[in-house]
Amino acid sequence: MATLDWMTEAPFKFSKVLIANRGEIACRIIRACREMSLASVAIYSDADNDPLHVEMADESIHLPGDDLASTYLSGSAIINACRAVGADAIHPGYGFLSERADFAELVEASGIIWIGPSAKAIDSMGDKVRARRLMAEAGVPLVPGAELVDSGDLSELMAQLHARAAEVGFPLLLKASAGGGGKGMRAVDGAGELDSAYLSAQREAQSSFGDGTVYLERRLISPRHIEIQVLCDTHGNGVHLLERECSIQRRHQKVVEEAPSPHISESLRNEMGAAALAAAQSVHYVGAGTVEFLVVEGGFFFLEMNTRLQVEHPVTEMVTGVDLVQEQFRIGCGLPLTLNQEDITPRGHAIEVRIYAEDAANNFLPATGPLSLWRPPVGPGIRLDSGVREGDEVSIDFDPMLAKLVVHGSDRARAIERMRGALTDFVILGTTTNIEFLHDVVSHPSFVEGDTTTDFIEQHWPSGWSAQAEDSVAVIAAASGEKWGLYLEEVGESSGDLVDPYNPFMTLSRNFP
Amino acid sequence: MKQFVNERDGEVWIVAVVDDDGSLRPFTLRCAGDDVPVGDLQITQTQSADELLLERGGVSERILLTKVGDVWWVHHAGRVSRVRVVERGSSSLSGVGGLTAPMPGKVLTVMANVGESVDEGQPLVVMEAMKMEHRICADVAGTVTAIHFSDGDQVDQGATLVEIEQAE
Repeated sequence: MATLDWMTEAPFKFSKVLIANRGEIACRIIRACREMSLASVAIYSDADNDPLHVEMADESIHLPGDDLASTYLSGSAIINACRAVGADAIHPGYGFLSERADFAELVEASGIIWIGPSAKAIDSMGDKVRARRLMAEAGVPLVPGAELVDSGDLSELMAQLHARAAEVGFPLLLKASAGGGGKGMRAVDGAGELDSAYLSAQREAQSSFGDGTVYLERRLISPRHIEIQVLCDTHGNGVHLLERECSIQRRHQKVVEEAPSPHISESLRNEMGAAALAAAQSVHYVGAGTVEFLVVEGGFFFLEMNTRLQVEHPVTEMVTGVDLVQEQFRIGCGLPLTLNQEDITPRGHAIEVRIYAEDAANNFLPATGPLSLWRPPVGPGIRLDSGVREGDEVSIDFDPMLAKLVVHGSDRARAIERMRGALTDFVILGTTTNIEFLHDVVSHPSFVEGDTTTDFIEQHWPSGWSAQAEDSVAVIAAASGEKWGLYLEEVGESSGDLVDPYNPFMTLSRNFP
Repeated sequence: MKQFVNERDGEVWIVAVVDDDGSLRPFTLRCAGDDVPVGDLQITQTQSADELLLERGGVSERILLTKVGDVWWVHHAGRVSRVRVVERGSSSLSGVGGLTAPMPGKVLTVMANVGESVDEGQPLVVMEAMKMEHRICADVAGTVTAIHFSDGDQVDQGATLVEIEQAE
């Protein structure tokens, strides 16, 4: 295959990308491949039923099995799939194998180009105690904390724990170094709880991660979750692409993200951007990555670095105009960044919401069912990243996120108005979704004020959210549908007739508010 | 006259519509036995089987709808409702037992008279139990020979409410 024009100068050429993922992110990456004239390969398992990403890709390969371990999480099955179809690059997307250092290593050892950071960088950032040490050396502000040195003498260790805790101050968190998802983490309010909290965190970390290392960190009160997007090339250049505000979460998962953050000043943005770049460059980071910070009055502190593309990357794309996936491909073949830091300025405001198949009125329980009707909103400044289409079935086999709805407006107030309109117009019937809940979140006076913290949902809906509708209209509509037999597919006497879309009489009396 | 159950709160609705030259006007709307004012509104079809127009106060509002099994999914003004269709006399609404009380409760309305001839599935008694309305419908076509309770009476589970002599 002839080298693509844009790749002529690149040291590491490739032409066919296997996307080791599914759903909306696979579709997103396939679109970038198309625009860059790269061939795309989708993978699918027995649990997939004619999925959209397979339809969109140039070709696809079946990984036998209906469990994740033998399909989307099997490094060897994916390498074999690359060999079978002649793919010379792998894009991991997010989740699945995207942050597995051993997989990155396997890909590179197989002579396939890995669209992501080195195994070493993934590994360094994956271990929290090691990451903290690296960040301290690089001058990145850390949440005040301390490590423990286990000499094997328990009473000595407990004395050390109390001494370090007194230095860090209460309330504090005990965190597993190998941790994630809240496992091996304990909140401690006073010295009295320290011993038992330490022992249980240590046990949980050992059984969950095979590494019982626990460290101490001061617990910040009502922090905001703000993250910085970075891009680094193989030539030592790096830029940051401003921040994303991701404070609104349910069950520790983000629900609404926006850029820029309504909370930070130009000077804080520059400081955090510089700190994020220092963090990335301290591990010789290559590709797109995100440095997460907790921000409180008077300071920001390094939380962790995600060594992959983030779910919420579109809000950054909307305000900077940079296509992050295309940049990943350029960096992947060894081209230098063409962006300078001065080129990157925010334009307007972007908001993303995650559309989940779940029942927001019932503890956000995942929902399943057919997507009998799927009518996404269209209009100026509206983007939908979706992995499904009308007629698909939502099953329990995969993540319940159906799509990400992103809007752009000239300022935050207009972006909010646009999002409210887009959510009102978004019709999904056949499966319960969180669309109405999201509408109520972005319409809430506190959200409009920009008062977003990580406990927003618990604070404003302490006894849970409930749906509202004009019941009499719904019942009359159902009765009309029943009377006219609309479920029989064809309508009335004109059934089967071709509709002339250019007939002006078709639209003459139609008037939608 | 079919019955409709709002899946969110379990309320039972009765809607009677009249087809007025291609547009439907509801003339009776009843929720949990109480009349609900209908107002001046009408429903018209569109070129799409998934879409209806609600016209009221000189404004058209768009309704999208689709039926999955027995349930209508209705999208109106950014909100989704699920409305289950229940045929008259169906066990899912009237409970078990046909002409006997499915559970202890109160008789709300007796809708038939002794000597009246009734069709199969015709509602005879509406009763309330566990805050839910239950319709007791004729299990066969025939003539009502006895009614053992009247409006407001308390009944025990399994009590015979109405007797029908089956038509030849």
